[in-house]
Amino acid sequence: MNLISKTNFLLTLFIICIPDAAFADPLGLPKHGQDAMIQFAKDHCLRCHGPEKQKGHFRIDQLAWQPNNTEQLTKWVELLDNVSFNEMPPDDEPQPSTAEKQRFEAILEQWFSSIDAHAPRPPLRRLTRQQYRNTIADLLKLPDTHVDPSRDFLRDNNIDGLQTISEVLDMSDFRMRSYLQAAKSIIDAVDIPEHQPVSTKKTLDLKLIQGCITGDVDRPAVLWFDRLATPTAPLMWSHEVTPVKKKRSRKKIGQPLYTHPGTYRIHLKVEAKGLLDDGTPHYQEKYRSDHGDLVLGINITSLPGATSATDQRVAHFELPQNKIIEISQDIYVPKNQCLSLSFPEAQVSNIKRFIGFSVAATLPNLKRDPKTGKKVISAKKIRRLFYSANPEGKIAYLNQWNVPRILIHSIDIEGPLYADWPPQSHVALYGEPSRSDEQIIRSFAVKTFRHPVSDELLEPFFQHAQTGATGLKGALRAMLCSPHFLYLRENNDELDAYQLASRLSYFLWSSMPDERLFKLARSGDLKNPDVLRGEVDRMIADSKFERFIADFTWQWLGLENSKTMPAKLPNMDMRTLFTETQLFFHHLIKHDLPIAHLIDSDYTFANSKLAQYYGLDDRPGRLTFSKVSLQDCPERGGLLGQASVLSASTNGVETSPVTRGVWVLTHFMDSKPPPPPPNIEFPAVDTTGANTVRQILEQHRSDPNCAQCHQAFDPIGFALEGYGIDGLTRTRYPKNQGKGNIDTSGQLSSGIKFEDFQSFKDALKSREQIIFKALATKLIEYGTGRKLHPKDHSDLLRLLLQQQGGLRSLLHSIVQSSPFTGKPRANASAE
Amino acid sequence: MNKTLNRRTFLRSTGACIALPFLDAMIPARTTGANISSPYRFAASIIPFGVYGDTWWPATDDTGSDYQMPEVLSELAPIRDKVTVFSGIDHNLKGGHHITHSLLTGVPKDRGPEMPDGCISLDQRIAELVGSDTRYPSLNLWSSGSSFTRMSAEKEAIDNPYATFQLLFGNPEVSVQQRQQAILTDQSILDTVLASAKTLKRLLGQQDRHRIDEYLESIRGVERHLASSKKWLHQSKPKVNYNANELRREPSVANSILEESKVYDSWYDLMHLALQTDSTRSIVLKIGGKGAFSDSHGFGTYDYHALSHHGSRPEKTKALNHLERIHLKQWRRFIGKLKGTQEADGSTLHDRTVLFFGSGMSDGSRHTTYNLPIILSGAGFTHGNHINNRRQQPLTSLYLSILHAMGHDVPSFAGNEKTFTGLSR
Repeated sequence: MNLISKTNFLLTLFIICIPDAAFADPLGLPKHGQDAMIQFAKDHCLRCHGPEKQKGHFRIDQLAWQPNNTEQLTKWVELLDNVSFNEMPPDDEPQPSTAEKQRFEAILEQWFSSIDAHAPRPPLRRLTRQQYRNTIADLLKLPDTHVDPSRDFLRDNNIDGLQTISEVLDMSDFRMRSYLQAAKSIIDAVDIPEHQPVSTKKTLDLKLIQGCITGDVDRPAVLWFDRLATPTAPLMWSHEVTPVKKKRSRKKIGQPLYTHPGTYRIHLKVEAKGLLDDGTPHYQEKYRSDHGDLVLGINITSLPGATSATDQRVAHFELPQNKIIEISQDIYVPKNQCLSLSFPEAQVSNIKRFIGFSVAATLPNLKRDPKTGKKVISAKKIRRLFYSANPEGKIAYLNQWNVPRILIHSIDIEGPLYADWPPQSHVALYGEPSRSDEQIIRSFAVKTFRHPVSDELLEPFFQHAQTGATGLKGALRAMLCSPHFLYLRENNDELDAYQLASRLSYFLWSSMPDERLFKLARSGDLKNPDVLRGEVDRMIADSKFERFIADFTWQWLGLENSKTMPAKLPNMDMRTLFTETQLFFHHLIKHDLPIAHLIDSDYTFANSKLAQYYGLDDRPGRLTFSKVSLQDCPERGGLLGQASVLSASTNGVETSPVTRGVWVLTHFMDSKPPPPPPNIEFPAVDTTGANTVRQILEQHRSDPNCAQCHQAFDPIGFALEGYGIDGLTRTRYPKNQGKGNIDTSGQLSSGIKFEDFQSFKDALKSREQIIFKALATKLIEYGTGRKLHPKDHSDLLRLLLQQQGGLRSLLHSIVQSSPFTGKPRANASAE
Repeated sequence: MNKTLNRRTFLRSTGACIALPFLDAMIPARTTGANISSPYRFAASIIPFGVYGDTWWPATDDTGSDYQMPEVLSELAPIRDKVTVFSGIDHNLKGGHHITHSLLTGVPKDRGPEMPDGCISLDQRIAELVGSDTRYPSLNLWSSGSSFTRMSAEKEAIDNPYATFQLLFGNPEVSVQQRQQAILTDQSILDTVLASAKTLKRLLGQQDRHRIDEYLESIRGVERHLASSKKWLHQSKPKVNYNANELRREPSVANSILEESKVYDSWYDLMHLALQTDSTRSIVLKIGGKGAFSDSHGFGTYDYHALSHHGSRPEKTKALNHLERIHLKQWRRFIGKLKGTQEADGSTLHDRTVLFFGSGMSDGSRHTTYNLPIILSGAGFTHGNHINNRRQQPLTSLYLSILHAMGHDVPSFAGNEKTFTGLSR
């Protein structure tokens, strides 16, 4: 007691005796508001952030106003944020009055807006891998199922998940080789035969398919044999075959079903057998189908032996039990790819969950094995039977074991069908047949380089086109490797209309501008704020906006991490989880919903697989997602209740409050803590006596070096401890994490206490500006390709202050803002 | 047009003066009895998260040749006269996790532009010096993050053993003529691309200069690659007796890790074959850090990274020790293979290869980047000692010594002109 008052006395003395030495003139604070600012700092900050103590390594008395000193300016931003978001002073300290606070904020905002220089512009921005892929698809009007030319590209680096940031988009000879190669495959893919190929209709022999399923050695389609264990069965050859005796031969036999790349119409008669013969659902919950309905997928699969295998579902159908359904679907089949049938709900790795195809015609002839009449069977036994060389074993598996299966009554494939001849991708590249090489290059360049081009710039390509028969194709290839294509040129402080069109379309569509944006760029109308607003609305309504949703949510939330997880989630796949997050975020934008929904919501989006996973009462479509109520399941409300995020914020083996807490700070609140201090000789924390994670971390925080940062993220991590690595709720730790009950209570660094996840979300809601600012920052950074600089702070603040409405309005404000358009900001300091 | 021709001619002429691969060149040497010594190679094995120090480091003063090997290190006891164990050596750089990538460079990535040789890594420096003599200037295997070019570009590793085998020994699908034609086409396209890049350069300010230089350098890199492919076009790949189909079966290779894993074996098998056939003279194997470590010894399932943050918990350090022993056991096996391979000049492959084992992190639990675990073996030096450097000489001095021992009298590495003293050649 005595000691404390003594300290206080000394401190008071210090402040009284040398009142302004702590804020000496050389700090260069602007004249306006200087005294009030110093007074505020003395009243509310100096005791913990002055000469005596420097909590959080922050010292206010040595803070200088130097707009060109990034380090100093960053600290001012930190100061302003902490005060205006009520983070500081902490709850247990005397609080400034509202008037004091408003005055403080007004002064600092005015200081910030008096900074006239723009933030440094980053260097040229290379297209990311996704942007490249989308641009090629749009440039050449490629069908949705085209082969991704960027599939062998190196992954792009990222900064805290964001891949569009100019600094990390490097170039190397390895990347250049990929571009050279991709350009070749792109230009070659547009080639067409001299005459339009004749379309034929081929009917597949069901006996052949039966042979494929059973792996019958006397039947030729052995290629299917290996594929049966996977949930995809490729349809590659017609029935015109010569029998091959050799077991497991990989020889190609019969007539290929696809003569040319093009659209093929697959016509199916199929029937779902999702219930057991006695009409009850399957005994295994994991793939039971309550009403016997099953999902059939149609995939595009690369032919066996391809160097990089692809398997992409392009359509799916929900089939009701015991009803023959006719399906007719047109699908573009690219070169070296084929159509295949799949069970989207089956899992490759888990034989227990395999559900098979079967051919209707051969079913009745099968005998029932007396030993296998039982409903429950060990996985080992199934596996032995299934992998036995004996084809009868497989038939038994598919039929007598009574697994859910789809009966195939017939398959026809017709094609190639062309809506136009020459196809539109050919026209997009070469135009009408009569055009000269120069005309072709010129019109391709305008779209490819996204900017008007001079003849001088095109000269090298014109010259190349004259070098022999393949000259033109070579010139077009060179254009796709040229820096004019690969880089976004944003080299003016204020973007010209073309540059703005590109920035906008790469932001909201992850791709090049369309015809209309080009037109508005040509006329210059795009720079009109009202036109720009109209365009943003149009772009959000377009289906290409889903690319933004997918790319941005993936990057913003750092979901890349989920790709490198060692273990797969049992009974769940990342694609389903990610779809929930995407649909949720899309919904918030589409309906202009407030940021509070991001923190907590009473709805989410799910299909029946996810609903079952979460234990929701709603049962949406088997694969089709719809909006579901979370009235009875509040722990799933908001982004932090979604399994995608909960899973991606772990390492896939065990959860850690540290990792999760840092994740939330980095991705959700844009305040990434510094990395652990390097080379500081702090003792290895002896945690041998501790049991729970909570105790271990408490021990760790007993070292003030560690506590500085850990007290910011540990509590957040604890709030999320009620979820395992699979994103499912839990009340006890698993074995590898020392068992024990889970405690999700804690206290945020601002002093707010919470009891559980729900009250944690309430605490976040009271600080929703932080999350709003974080999201705005991430969006601007994603859209402009540069990390925000403290000099941008005034723009960011203005944007947030003027913000009305929800997330859609936020997109509008961002697109109109000075950091996005590069327009000089309206001069606030002139007021 | 004329200018282009000149440049192309230049590339051709540089290509022509490069010798045949060593294996072919050595056959006449052996028959004539000429005294040709086989070339020096470099092979680095890098583990991702440092080591658990207590079972790794010999006692500080226990230096020289009869030092006591602690538990984990004793995995190298059978070959202790063939290895040099270092302690007290590092780059004296700060920055925790990020700086681990500087293990082979000695320079943080963002400081590359200030350095005379950028932030080039040791293996890439060696590749620059000897790379044109082999089909592949260098190989990066398993996982990325250790090798950087002069322009600070990270070299992407091949994470699949089967793909590596195909690259080294597989037969290309298309004919020599077709490939030759493809190379010529690619070369002419690059000429056009280069011309168009120059028009862009004029449109840009100083700010974008670095980006466009990086782009131009990338093009030159592809040109060098094409010129070298052309040279090797008529040279068929070496034949080896190895069952590559086994490699094909390995599931999700990049993520599976350790514990009697065939994957680990096959990486070292492939490295041995690559060196033996002189397909390359510079290899970095960076052991993958992603993935669960689960084993049959009852340690439970852990993520390697999580395990490295052991917090001195005994169950974790025990598992970590086990893992580190596997690393050393595999490396010892690799050394054994090299020792058992005779070169044309009578030496063994081990005598002609500088073998480096290390990590860019010292103690994963504490994020320390001083006192890195470094072990050397093979060519260039007399081994058998524990050398405690006591943080006197930087690790880059050792790298400069390695370059000199391999016969390249370059003046400096990472700006450091001093070689390492206390290690005899």
